[in-house]
Amino acid sequence: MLAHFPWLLPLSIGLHNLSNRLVRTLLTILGIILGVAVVLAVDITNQSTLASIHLTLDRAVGKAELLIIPRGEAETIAGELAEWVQDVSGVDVAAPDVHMRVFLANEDLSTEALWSASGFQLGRRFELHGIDPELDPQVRLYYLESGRMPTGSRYEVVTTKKHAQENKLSIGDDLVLATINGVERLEIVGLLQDEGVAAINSGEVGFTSLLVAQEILDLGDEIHEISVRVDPEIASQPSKLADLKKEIELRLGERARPVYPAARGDMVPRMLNAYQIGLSFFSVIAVFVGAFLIYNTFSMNIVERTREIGMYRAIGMSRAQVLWMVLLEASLLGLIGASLGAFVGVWLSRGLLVVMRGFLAEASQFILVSRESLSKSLGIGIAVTLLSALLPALHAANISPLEALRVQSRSTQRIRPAIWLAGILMLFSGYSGLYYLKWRSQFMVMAGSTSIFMLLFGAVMILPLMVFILERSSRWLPRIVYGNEGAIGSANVRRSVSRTTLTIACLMVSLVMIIGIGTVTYTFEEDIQHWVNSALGGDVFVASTDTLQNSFTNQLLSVPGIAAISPTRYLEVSMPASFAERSESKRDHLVYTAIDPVAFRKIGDMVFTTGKSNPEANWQALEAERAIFISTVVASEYQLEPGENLSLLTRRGLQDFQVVAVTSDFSNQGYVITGTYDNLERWFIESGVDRFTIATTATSSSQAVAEEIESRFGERNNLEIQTAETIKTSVTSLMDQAFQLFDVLTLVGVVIGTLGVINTLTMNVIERQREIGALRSIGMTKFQVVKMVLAESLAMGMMGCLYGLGFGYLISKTFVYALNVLSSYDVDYLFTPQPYLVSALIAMLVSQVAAVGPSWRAVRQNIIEAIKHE
Amino acid sequence: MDMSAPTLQTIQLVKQYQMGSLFVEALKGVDLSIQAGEFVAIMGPSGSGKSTLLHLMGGLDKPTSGEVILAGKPLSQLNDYELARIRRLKVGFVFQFYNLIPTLTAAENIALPLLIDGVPLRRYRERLDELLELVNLSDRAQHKPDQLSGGQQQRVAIARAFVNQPEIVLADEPTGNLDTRSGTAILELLQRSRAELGATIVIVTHDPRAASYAQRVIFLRDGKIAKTLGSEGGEVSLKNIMAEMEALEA
Ligand SMILES: Nc1ncnc2c1ncn2[C@@H]1O[C@H](COP(=O)(O)OP(=O)(O)OP(=O)(O)O)[C@@H](O)[C@H]1O
Ligand SMILES: [Mg+2]
Repeated sequence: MLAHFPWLLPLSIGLHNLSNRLVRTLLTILGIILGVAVVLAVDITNQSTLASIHLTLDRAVGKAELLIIPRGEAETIAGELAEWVQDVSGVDVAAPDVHMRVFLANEDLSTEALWSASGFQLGRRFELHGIDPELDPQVRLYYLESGRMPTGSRYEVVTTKKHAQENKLSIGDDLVLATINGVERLEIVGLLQDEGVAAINSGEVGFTSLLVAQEILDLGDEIHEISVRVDPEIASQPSKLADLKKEIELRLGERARPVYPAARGDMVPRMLNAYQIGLSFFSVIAVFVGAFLIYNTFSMNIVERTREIGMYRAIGMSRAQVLWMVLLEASLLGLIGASLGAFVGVWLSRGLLVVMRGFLAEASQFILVSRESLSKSLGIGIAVTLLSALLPALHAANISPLEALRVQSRSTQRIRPAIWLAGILMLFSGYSGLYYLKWRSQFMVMAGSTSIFMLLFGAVMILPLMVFILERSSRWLPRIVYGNEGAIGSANVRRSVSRTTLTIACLMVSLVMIIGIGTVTYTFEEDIQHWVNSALGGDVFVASTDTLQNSFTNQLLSVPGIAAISPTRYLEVSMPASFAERSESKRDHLVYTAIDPVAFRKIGDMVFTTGKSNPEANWQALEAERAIFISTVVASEYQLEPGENLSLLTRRGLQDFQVVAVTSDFSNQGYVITGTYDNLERWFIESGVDRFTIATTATSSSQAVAEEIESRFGERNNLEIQTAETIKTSVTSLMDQAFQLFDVLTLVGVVIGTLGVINTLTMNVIERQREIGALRSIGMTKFQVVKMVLAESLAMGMMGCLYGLGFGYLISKTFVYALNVLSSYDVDYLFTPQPYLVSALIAMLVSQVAAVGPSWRAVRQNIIEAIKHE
Repeated sequence: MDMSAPTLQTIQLVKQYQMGSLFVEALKGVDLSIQAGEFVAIMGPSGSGKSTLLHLMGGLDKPTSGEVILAGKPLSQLNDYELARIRRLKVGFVFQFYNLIPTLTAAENIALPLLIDGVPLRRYRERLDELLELVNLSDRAQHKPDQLSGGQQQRVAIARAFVNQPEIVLADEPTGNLDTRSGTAILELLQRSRAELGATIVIVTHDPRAASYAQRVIFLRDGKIAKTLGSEGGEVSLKNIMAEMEALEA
């Protein structure tokens, strides 16, 4: 039959090859599996990371991206608007809300007694919300501890566990409200955990259905606000969100207006955007790594068979047949490997994510395997397999049978200059693509990712050039650790430059991942931490919902343990439309933060980003008429620099305020300018205090001071009192959670490195069976063979380490740079030695751990078998 | 060491290979003793057990039963580490496919057993030069194996086998891969080494001309010694060897 179908011959030989060389076939398939799995796993991890970050932010600032509130003096908006907004395209959920502070009555007090005895002060103020039990959980986080949500028009309520415990209430009891219309009873049907909505009004909060609340509060069909949750696609893109807001604003006209939720602002979408970009870089690395692993194994497979292919050529196989044979094998392996890889990828990422169990509980709903990432990874698997088969196959088809059949294979291979020249070119274009070319904003992310890809690619391609230098600078280590066997082993890395290159590249890529992620994480963390520390400055913070008199400062000073007090007033100020045009979001209002510089500097300090060398001069300049500090966000949004003017609408007309310095201030999402109380009084005719920053004396605890203030003034002035410590702890824990999943990526990096080394060493050991047999036959002990393999691996580990650390440094700088360029979230690159030390350690450890299997393999084999045949 | 005791002795050497449920008996009780300084050739049809015997003699493998006594030590009593030591210090191997380490130069390949032994190279500089001289490769000392011809590579392998002044050198078809001229050069080298370095040599070969260099030729057939030329039987000559071979293969 073969005689009639000559093209079948390569197929049958190909299949024969696969089954005959089972170990090699399995290793190759393993490589493809890993490649596909890595792409998929990182994609899934990325999605979960993003979901977790969303969740963390939602927890901190609420889920809704927009709020619809009444315009001007009005207190309510028409209830029908909720349904109406819901229909706007891009809006996922529009949840109506009414809320009101009410008083709670105890069962044993009659209403009359309550009203007559107390005036306003008897019960603690309780916040009652009327919500749609279906929609509201989609815009706010409800964590029901027990029971259920209220239904329909029944007089039912859920409240917090905290409130229930303090008032000895449980499910089935009634919550008794004192309203202007008399007493209302709502049956408690559910209790909330102390998270999400339960944090509103310090837990003094209850939720009933919209209809019931409207009836109790006598609102008719009116509501107070609508929380809007938009399409996630839009939510993570600040400019799209701004467009949607604009559109809703246009449609609503005079009836209501959309705003960014106070706590969320448009800083959150920008942060999400930055994260997404950061994660997409990791995806780029993953695609690179995946493609690379596959290329690695498959091309190795072909290179090893050079002799065999030469033999086929010698006995008359044509070039086309050789190509055909190799490609057939490749597609078969690609298909098998890629489909298995998809399974392994899902399994791997799930497994890794399960490690983060606490987090997973809520985020797990987001861990789905999207069709895109599945087809992407499968496509990459098969395409790269074919491609990486094609290149060596072409090469193999072109080699002379004589060369292939030499008894002794060449000890070293020549490096083709085309490769490293291309590598240098890639490095160069990747570099200039990032640092020099100005891309249009819609291409920026793609261009950035491509540039990073090119940098990685280039770094790998110039590796052959570096192998000798690297080997020379690394060889002392295996020699010291393993002696003479170490010298033999480390010399082995020069044997197959292409294979050594691939291993080092594997290690490098994994180190780059670790260092890149470590640095980005550290940079973010330090950035936030630094800001928190400087923004906090004091020890205790006292804020009030109503602006307090300036004289309240003196009252506070009477509390023992207080060393200094700095008052702050926040005032929303507007700028003329012409000025707002400068910003992409066309935002026309900022918060003017009035401070008393002397008091302020007693407690904390500003973080200046301009005039850092002489902060004293900045402070001096602020004392001038209409002088202000602006935040980095304002500086970049409105393209302002020190010395330039910012126009503001004041009570004395349009005025130019001179920027004297830029500060790193993220309060109010960074839309903040800082000036003196003097200027506040003169131009805005305002005074009062919204927030006090208090420094305690060295000997007193901030907790005690906070409690004392609460007991003296808390109730009466409706104060919210926090200590720096609790804020820091909560910020830190939020941050830790968000960054936790990056550790998973680090783990992926380690796995990649390990597998790369194992793969190469196993191949090396298989290929050198005869040689190892010969060494054993002339008296090398098993232990010495193990040492030799370990030394070879250590040499590669050391080389990968040197290269990886160097390139990791460059890439991590590039990451931060690209993040700054691509998102409007500014961070400074910060160097931290930790990921470098960890990487170095991992490289060495991985090289030794990964060598255990192959070296076991090397000593286990029978000497006679090894030396017997080719 | 008692000079009259043989350098190598095998007693009722049996080697069985198990292939599934099938047992292949490659050696069926071989008694053999080789005196110090002897040059012995082992011949026999393909599959008769020549290589198996050589491997057992060099401690590369363990017999199913029987014993190999090398330099007065019964090999069956040694553990893996001690066997490796014996191979390193008492035995030299030469293979059909040279089995040199491609990353090392000719000189380094020769010195490899010393390297493995942890001996500082400079102490052996002289010996190395001597060996390079012997195998006529002084001008190729710094060449890598892939820069040497097959015959040159085999000469390196022979020099490596002699570097540790072994009690015995075992060669499995050392000329199998070489043309007649290179083969002759190798055999003359072996003979000269024996004379100059006072070693004992055992070669396995198919080539009657190669065997004729030996003082004694042992013929194997089906795992047993069928005939010996040299000591008791006939004289070692090309004619006798060819006749024996024909008889065995018939
Ligand atoms: N690892 C093994 N497993 C099973 N049988 C084996 C093994 N090695 C050798 N044999 C068998 O043992 C017998 C002797 O083999 P050996 O290699 O010693 O023969 P030989 O005389 O060296 O042959 P040749 O001249 O072809 O090299 C043969 O029948 C062979 O099939
Ligand atoms: Mg044989």
